Amino acid sequence: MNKRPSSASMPTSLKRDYVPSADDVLVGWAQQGDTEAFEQLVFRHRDKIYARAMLMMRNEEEALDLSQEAWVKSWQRLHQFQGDSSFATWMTRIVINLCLDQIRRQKKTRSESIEQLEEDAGGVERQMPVEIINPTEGLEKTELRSRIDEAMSKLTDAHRAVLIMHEFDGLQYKEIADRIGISIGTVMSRLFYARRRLASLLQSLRRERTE
Amino acid sequence: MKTETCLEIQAYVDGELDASRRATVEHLCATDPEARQLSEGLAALRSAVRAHEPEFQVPETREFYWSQIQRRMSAASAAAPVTVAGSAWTQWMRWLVPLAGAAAVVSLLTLPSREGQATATLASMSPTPAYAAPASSIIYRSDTDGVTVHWIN
Repeated sequence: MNKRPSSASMPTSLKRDYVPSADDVLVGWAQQGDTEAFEQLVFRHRDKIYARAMLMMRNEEEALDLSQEAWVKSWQRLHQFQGDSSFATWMTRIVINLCLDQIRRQKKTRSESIEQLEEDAGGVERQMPVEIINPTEGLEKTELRSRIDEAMSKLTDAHRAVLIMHEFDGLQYKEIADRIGISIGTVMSRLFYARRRLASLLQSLRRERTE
Repeated sequence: MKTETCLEIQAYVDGELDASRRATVEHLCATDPEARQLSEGLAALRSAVRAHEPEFQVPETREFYWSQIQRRMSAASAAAPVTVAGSAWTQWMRWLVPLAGAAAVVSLLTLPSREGQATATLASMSPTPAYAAPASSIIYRSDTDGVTVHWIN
């Protein structure tokens, strides 16, 4: 890292103005080894990357650790970034992959919940009501956001991961299947289960707060 | 409703179906109230979730967060394989080590055949009585050359 040039060693006439510069400009400078440009990128996107890790892991300590790891990985792989997607999207993919790796490691050390094992076998799906009514009607934006967060925290890692990748990262079924290493059918099944569970949790939360 | 039908309706809502399957689901939703309710419920939930992504903020100051990343970057850099200069040395070692090994093997294999040659060279030297060598070895010493050879049989 120290071998790379930083703007501190540049002549004053070449001093870069980081704050107003666009992401792609900062990425270009960072690719040349400019750590101050990289720091600016971290500053801009740190909350989004941390939020994604937090959504996936539901643990502040792990989310902090994985989000920082994602920044280190991106610095190391910055030369691979070709600008096919936005820098934020590229970063989000890195942190999601790290979270998936972490979840896989954790699954090895602890047995999955009975609920998930049943769901994978199709048991819970058959027991749940098919009906999904709109559980978000008449809610304030802030309250709805808070309830969605609370409901998502009650999903299993496997269901939450699929839901996040689909709803917030906009990935297609096949992309999710490839990245997690499961079949498209399992993605569809997990997504459907996650949505029904989420709808059910949102309804329960609404009932709890109105009573 | 069968699970397969539910998943097909979900795929329709997510825009994952081709034209013919899409038309089939649209017909189903138009004729079956249960299918229509599921489709509308999934669509409403989907847009509500997408529009209300939970937000979190890094629970540390910018400076502290960045300092931790910097420390990790430095550690990762230090742990990385040696760069340019190291690579050249590694390339050399890749050739030198096997060559040195091969040379050692050849030397060992040809040692008996060199015995005569060694004797001829050593003929200019004289056994030295100053050192009590084991019975199975001979010591040659050349005072003029300042060399001592310990020959072990």
